[in-house]
Amino acid sequence: MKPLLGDKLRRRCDPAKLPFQSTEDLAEFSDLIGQERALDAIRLSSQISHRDFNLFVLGPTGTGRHSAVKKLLTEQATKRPLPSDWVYVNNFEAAHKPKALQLPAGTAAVLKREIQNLIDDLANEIPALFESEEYQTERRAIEQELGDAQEAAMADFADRAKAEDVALVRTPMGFMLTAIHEGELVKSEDYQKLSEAERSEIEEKIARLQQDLADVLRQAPKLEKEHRKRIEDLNARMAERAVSARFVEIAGALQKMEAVSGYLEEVRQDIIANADLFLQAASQKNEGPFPGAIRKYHREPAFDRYVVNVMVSQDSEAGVGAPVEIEDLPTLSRLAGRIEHLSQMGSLVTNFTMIKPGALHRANGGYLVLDARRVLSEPYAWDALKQSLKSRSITITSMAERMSLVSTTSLEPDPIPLDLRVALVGDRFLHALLVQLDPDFSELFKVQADFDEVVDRTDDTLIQFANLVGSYASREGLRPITAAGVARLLDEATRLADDTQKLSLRLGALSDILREANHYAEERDSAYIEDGDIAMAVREKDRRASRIKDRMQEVISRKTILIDTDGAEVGQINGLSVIGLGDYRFGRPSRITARVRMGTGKLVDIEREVELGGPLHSKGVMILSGYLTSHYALDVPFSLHASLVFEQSYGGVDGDSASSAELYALLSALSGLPIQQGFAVTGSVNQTGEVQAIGGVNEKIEGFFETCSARGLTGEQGVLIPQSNVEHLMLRSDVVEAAKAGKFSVIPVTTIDEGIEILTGATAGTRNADGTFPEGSVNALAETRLRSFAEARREFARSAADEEGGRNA
Amino acid sequence: MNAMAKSSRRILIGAGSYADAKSAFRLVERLAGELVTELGGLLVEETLLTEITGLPKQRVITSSGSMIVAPSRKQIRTLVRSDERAFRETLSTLAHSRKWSFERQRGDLISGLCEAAKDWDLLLLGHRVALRLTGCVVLVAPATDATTDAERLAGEMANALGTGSVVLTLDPHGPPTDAEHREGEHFENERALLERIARIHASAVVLDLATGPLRTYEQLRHLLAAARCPIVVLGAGQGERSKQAS
Repeated sequence: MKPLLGDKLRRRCDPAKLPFQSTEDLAEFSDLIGQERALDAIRLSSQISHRDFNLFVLGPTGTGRHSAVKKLLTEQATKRPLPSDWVYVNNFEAAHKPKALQLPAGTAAVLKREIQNLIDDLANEIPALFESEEYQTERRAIEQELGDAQEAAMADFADRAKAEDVALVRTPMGFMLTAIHEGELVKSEDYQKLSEAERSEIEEKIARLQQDLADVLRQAPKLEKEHRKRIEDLNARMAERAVSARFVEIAGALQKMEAVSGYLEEVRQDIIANADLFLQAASQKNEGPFPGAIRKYHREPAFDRYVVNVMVSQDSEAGVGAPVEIEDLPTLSRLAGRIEHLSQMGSLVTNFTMIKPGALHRANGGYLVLDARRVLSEPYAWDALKQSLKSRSITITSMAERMSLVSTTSLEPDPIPLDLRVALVGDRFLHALLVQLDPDFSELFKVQADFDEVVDRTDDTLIQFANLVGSYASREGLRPITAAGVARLLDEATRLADDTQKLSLRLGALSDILREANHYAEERDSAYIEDGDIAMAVREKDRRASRIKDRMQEVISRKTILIDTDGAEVGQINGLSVIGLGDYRFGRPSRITARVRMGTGKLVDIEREVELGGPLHSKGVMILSGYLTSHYALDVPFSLHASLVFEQSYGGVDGDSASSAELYALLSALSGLPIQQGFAVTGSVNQTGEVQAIGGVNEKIEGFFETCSARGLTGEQGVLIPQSNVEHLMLRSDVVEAAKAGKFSVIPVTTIDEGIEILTGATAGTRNADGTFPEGSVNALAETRLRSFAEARREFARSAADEEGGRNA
Repeated sequence: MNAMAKSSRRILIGAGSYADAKSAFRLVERLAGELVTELGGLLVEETLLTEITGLPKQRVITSSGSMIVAPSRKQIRTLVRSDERAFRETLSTLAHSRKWSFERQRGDLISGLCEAAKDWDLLLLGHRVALRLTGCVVLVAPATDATTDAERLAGEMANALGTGSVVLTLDPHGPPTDAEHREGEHFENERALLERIARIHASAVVLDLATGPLRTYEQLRHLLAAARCPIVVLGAGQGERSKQAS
């Protein structure tokens, strides 16, 4: 196989093919590229009227999910009608169950203002009415009438008692009656001196009159009760006069609304029944700088009962337009609303004025966009969201209440009917988990908008991408980008896609590069962002993240980690692995060695034995065993004992991308043919010996290139990669340049036979018609070695049996 | 500034029991201002009370109309001691930083209070009230006279209590016909006057023993019994011990 040429190692976008000089020439372009399927899903969810067609937007970070959702939902929202206003008002019959009122859009603020003015006015008018001579006269008349009635009863009694010669005496405990005899009060010591008849008469009179007096005195509480009732009636009459006169002034439009008129009537009745609140407020000293007449009574806690607590208020002037609410911190309380408490004398108290709206309230009638991971990570937020969607209503419950942590006064506000579309933005893993683990999820989120991370690299998409990048630069206030700069950025998009046929749609990463490039352009005082700026941004980003990579290359250069880049060794090969740190990946070579001897068909993966190998790596090693057993010495028992190891590997190893390298090492060990150490190998292998594609091919090649480059490129160095990875090559320019100069080669292979020939310089050998491999070929040598192991094993078994037989004889 | 403060600075509150005194305390509480410099309290344990108690079937009828067994003499003495403590405590609370004094006496209520009131500007004679409603202020005054301290006091008290005032005059010769004839109800004898007072629901009755028409202790006693409310007495020290023909 021939090494790949430069144009195969890195696909370049030709700036000359871009139809502009710089992005200044481009029109505004804000559409997403290659996301038609996802965008259609969002449109469906935003337009369909049936319930539960909520949306889950899934895809990798940086693919424009949030902005696309926001854009499409906002577009659709403008076509929808304004939703209603919602307010909470006092439930005068059960204060712990505040009432929710649905009002036409834009009415809530008007109602609130009307009630505030009403309270302020009545707080002036009611006290004035109660201070009027008219009221005072009526009140005095009632008191005098009832008082006189009691006095008359007492006077009548006193007259009767006096007529019967009985006197009324006050004692510390109450009244006492005693007889009068001959004009003097009868003393107890004189009483016995009276005749029997006189005593009987006195006893009878006292007993009878005592009863009469008790009857008279018992009237007092009744009269006081009547007094209270008549004063209350009088107060109510007076208050009613003031209140009703003021209520007439409330805007007729409000009065015509059924919900409002009912509420206003309740307020009217309550004010009449609690006119004393207004009297008390007026009697309190006005401590403000303004005269009492303009005092804002509605702000005083006593009048909280009449507050209109606006939960949602729409801008009615707009006429149309549903809300699009984006809640970045979807805690339970920020989502479903909360009931705040106030500390009073060590207790936590609340009332309906302390009900605060959540995102569900604000988004009601429109759209709510949430980050799925955040909703799921906030305690009870996901439950509350699902419950609200299921019941189609918003019920406010605090977390403390749900967990029964705090025992304090709380409220049960009326649930508010809910009609909205929720868009959750998350990743695919989260979506899969929800589908699998939460049976409600699929019921409630019937639409998924799956954002792709790559799009085919075609002439059309290249131009669309250029438009997108140009518009982004314009919107963000960046410098215009030259065509070369755009081409360089498009190449980077291809590199991010890990595929020369694709462009990465992870716009976040590309915009980071663009902003950094803008900075470099600014530093050199250029009006344009050019390809050099983009390249520098990519290079500097790479450099910032490459401390660990550099340390690793250093220890290889200093031979602390042993990697040969020249010469030839039997049973030893350079494998390649990729290390990922966040979004930064780099490749590094690892020495893989194989040792063989006669055995019972056991292939020892040392990594697995010490539990440093992952399951995919173990699978790869077992495939090697399958390859060997199915290719060589089929007529004899598999009598190999081989061991494989990643030398100086102290961390875990996973993946099967080194399985072809391991097989090459095994074949070298079996055949005794040395492997050229100037090569490194990557690629997985199947049991038939085909080399299969792996990930991170660019990083792996670059990793080995750096190692070789540090020691000096000899022209004999290179990397064997799977043929199927050629389309993924998007190598750094320095690697491409070295390849062009013949100093470094990237060689694609499709089979193990192709690879082993390159590595050993010997023919792999194809099995002849007689079933043998050509003499001297790698396969022939390997098979001969395996057959010799089998022979030796048979000999060993025979001699052991003979020895056993001799002992038995 | 209020009625009592303008009219007098030293007020003696007198009663035969704490139950009677409470109405006087309430009145002082509502009326007394900063210019009242001294409050006095006099609880008179009426000797008559222990002498008349103990008749068969005799009961005490409480303000709420309940009937309880009449107290023994010993119980009465215990009750008086309890009243004394309550009287003293309430008086001291009411006085705040003002000078105050308290005394307990045995004997006749009216004569005891009037004698003691000679050194005071005003005597407030307590009487329990059956109804906790604000009644009018009744002024008992001579039929003809210029504006008196009692009249001014009654008017100011009515204002302070937010009520009206009623003027009752007494003259056996009938109402005068000249211009100095006082507005109000006129009575030609004391009996008629007291019968009228007995049927008026009053917060207080104001009179001046020095100017009449009621001048004697006995008349004051009858007035208290008929009015069944606190009596504000001016010139108590000038009241006459012997009963005068009215």
